[in-house]
Amino acid sequence: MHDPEPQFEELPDALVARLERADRSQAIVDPRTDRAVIDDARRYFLTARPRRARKPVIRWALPLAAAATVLAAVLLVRPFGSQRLADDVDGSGRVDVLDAFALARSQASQESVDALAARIVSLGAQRSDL
Amino acid sequence: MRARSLVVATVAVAVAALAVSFGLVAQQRAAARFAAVDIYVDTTVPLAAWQFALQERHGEMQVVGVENGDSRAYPEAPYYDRAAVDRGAADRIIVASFSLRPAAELPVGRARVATVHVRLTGAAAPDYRLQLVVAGAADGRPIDAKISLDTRTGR
Amino acid sequence: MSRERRRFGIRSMDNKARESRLADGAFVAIAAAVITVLVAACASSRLSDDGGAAATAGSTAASAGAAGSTSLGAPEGEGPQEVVVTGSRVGGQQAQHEQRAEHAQRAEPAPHSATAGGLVTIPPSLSERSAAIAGSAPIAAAGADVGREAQPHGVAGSLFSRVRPGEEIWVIETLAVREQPAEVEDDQPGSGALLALVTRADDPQRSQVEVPLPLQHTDVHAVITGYVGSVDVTQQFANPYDEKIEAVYMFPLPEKAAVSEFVMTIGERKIRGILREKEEAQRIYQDARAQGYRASLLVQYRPNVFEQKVANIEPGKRIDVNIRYFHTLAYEDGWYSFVFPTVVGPRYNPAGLKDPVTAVPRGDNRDPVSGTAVRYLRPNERSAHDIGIAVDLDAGVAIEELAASHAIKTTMDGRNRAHVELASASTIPNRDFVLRFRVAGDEIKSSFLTYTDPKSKQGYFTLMIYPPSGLAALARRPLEMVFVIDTSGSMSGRPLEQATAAVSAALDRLGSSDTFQIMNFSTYVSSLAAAPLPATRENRDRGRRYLRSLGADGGTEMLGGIRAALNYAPDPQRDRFVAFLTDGYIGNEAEIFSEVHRLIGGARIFSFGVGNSVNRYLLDGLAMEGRGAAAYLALEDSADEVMSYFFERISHPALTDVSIDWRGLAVSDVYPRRIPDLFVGRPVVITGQFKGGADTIAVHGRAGKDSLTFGLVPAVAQPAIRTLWARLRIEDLARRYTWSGSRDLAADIRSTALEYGLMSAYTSFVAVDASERTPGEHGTTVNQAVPVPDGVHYKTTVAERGASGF
Repeated sequence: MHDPEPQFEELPDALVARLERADRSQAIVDPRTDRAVIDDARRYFLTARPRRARKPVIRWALPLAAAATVLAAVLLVRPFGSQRLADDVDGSGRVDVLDAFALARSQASQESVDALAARIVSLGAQRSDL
Repeated sequence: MRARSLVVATVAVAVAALAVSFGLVAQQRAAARFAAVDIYVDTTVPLAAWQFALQERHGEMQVVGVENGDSRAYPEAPYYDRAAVDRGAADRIIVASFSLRPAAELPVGRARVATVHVRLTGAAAPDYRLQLVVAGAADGRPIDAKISLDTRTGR
Repeated sequence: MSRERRRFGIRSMDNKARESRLADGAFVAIAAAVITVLVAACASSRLSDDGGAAATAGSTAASAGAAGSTSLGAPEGEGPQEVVVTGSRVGGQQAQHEQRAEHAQRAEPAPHSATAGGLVTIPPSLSERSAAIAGSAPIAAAGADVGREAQPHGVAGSLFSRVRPGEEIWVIETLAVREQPAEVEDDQPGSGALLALVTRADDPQRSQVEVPLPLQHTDVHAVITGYVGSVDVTQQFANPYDEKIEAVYMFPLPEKAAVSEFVMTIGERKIRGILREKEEAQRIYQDARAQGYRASLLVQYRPNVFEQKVANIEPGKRIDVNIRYFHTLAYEDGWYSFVFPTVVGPRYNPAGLKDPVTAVPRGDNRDPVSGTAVRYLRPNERSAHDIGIAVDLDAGVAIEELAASHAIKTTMDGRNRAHVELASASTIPNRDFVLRFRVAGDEIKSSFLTYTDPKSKQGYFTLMIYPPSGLAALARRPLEMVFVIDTSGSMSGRPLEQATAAVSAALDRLGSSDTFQIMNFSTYVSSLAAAPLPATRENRDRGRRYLRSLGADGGTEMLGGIRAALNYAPDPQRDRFVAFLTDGYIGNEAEIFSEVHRLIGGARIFSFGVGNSVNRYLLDGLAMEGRGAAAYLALEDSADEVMSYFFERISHPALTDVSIDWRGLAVSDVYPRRIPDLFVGRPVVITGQFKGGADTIAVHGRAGKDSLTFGLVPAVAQPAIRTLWARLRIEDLARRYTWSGSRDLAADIRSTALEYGLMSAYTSFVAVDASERTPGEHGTTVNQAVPVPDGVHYKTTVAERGASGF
């Protein structure tokens, strides 16, 4: 594997071997082959478009279904679910410190009041409108 | 020649990196500072409950303490979202408290209801946003109130 | 090929190329040097900033005629003597200070030569000057033995105030050989705020005098509902000096305490602290401290050892720190126990331990290389710190009887509730406070408590399984009893007497088909015989003679004792029960647990904590890993009674192979992962999570050849159940981490602690008062010294062991 030329006499054999492998891994594509592949790809995609255009119902069905799923999920798990209603101690329609205040005034246990207050100040339950 | 060029480039990059590092370190050192953000609520009737949200728009605020207000009717430190603050995930904090004391003992007018002690990083001046969520009277009904803040650094 | 190689720019190595290569090499070397200089400049810049912050009491540098000069000659008239120069430079550079500290450290004056709390003294000429200024003799000065900061001192404060910023202060020590015991050398009137004005040796009363240290008082208020306790601990720190200080205090809490609240109180201002990853909390604290803000930091070193730091306490001012924790009470043989530990016992740390808890004398304020240190008062010293304990108990059922380790005052509120307070005459915090109460009813019923988080819908349960009383009628298998006694220095005196008395009582209760072995360990392990002996009368007498021959001395190499007791072939005809009797004063608990886990096999370990302030974390952990139980033998208890209870317990087969039929309840993360055997009189507490609604569950087990089943109906409980579950999860993860070292487990501990807001080995509480900066950059560190536990000898635990690891 050694190059007979003098200038490469001192190169390590391992380096020489690696250079050879790296060099040979480089792919060279015949231009004619390259053109043939591209033409084939173009034909494929040009043919595919009319097929999609021929089925508008199917085309819109998937996004509609996804939107419906998201909407259903939001409606089902939105913050103002049953727990939020349970936390609305004063019946004001919103959950805030006044509910913890109302609970405390009703002689509930300190632990229950603390637990409700912790939920009230939880960032996860708040809208970010600052 | 090529090796020398490589070495020159390496040295230049190293110098640049160190310069940036100096700058960042200097910036970091200058920016790691503390401040006390005093929150005031101004009411015309005795204040029995309050809730506010505080945000720092640059995201450089780290809460290091939450303090009760001046009124003896509020002897304990207020409620806040501990999980978010402890995870360091809060550039926004919601704080609330209430008092079961009689109306005569509750604060009226402009009163400091809480202080949020913060550690600030970054060189820019903090940009706070404060919102009063609700204020309540001794009978539990919501009342009108104004909220404001003031900062102290002790310097 | 040659064309392709040219493309890579490879050049030949002819002579010209060689010269070029040498030039390149030189160029690279110069460039490397430039980079090194730049990096060094950057590092130096960082150090100079940090060094300023760590400067020894910048505003309190001692000034004397020696300032700026160094005399290496002996003082006139005293003859040739070795002189050690130490020094502190006001606002000086860290490197320079450390260099001098290192030099002084090599001289290493004896700890008991201290006069001013530090380890340097002032020559007569200087002493006279200082006395003229402040009316007292020695000055605490910076040096190796005081770490990075000088010791504040009433005298020093006066002298230091004479030094202008930028001036140097040098203190010259002459190391005369002295044989003075601590009592005499501390006996210097007006010797400084940090010193005890110790009774003179010739005082027949030998009354103790108080050491003014920052911790004034600890107030404990516990609210017990059923078997769950919520405890508020308030530590009152005050600054008795004329310059601001940082107070540091090492203290214990119950090892299963779920610490969830941290509030710093300044006057009427309450600042609730935050929980962070430990390193980040320390950074926040150090930043605040360096900038002069009042701050406090709580760090866990062991599940039952904590460090409290309070920075920038101004002269004459007070800062309180309140800690709240939850825990479940232990239940045994009809009695619930509430335990509040008051002092960390002096630990023995085997060589090479990475994070030791070192026991050092008061006044030794060096920072350990790793781990932490507890400072102990000498026998004739007493801190002003006292403790108040109040317990509000609601047992839920009638309370039949109350008993406590200290004198108490009790007020009953109906039959189910009681208010208990520590009597005023019993407030020295050198022994655990234990309150035991017995409730009505012949049999405590097992209970199943549940709580569902309204927000997340996650359910938590606590299940207490109490073995049915019918087990008492069944006979037990023959035993191979192995008694392992700790005979290290800390067991000297009464503890060893108790331990040997307990083993002697146990020998009387062995059956004719049992065998026994007696081993003891300190620095080495010894044993009665090469193999277990049949429990004949002759052999039991031989065993008692061996017990009488034992003495307590040396280190606590407990690993040796563990291996000796477990690492030999088991007797297939007998159950091996290993009884460990120790005070648990070691620092390598993790190693011990790991070794027990590895060697336990089919054996059982029963740990006996002997003493008044034992390491319950170790003892309960030994029992947990050893699938046995822990018992406690205080110095005033009857060893015979305690051993009688023990044999009563083990003399009947436990409820083994315990399993739970959850009947459709979706449970997860149940702790302990392996349900231990149930012994008569000892319930087991299990916690876990669940989803969905809770319904009746069934508990199955075996008692000998018989199968047993009983059902439990769920009852709704308070949110504390959630916190208790998280605490036991952390305990389980930490235990598994001791033998696996898996980083995933450490990450799990951290994330669980942060999610549930709990202290852990990886999370700490910090609070900062950012409203005001105190004058100066930061205060001088004052370590709170504590008494050695009641019954423990100072000389065999502190003076002998101290000073290693620094």
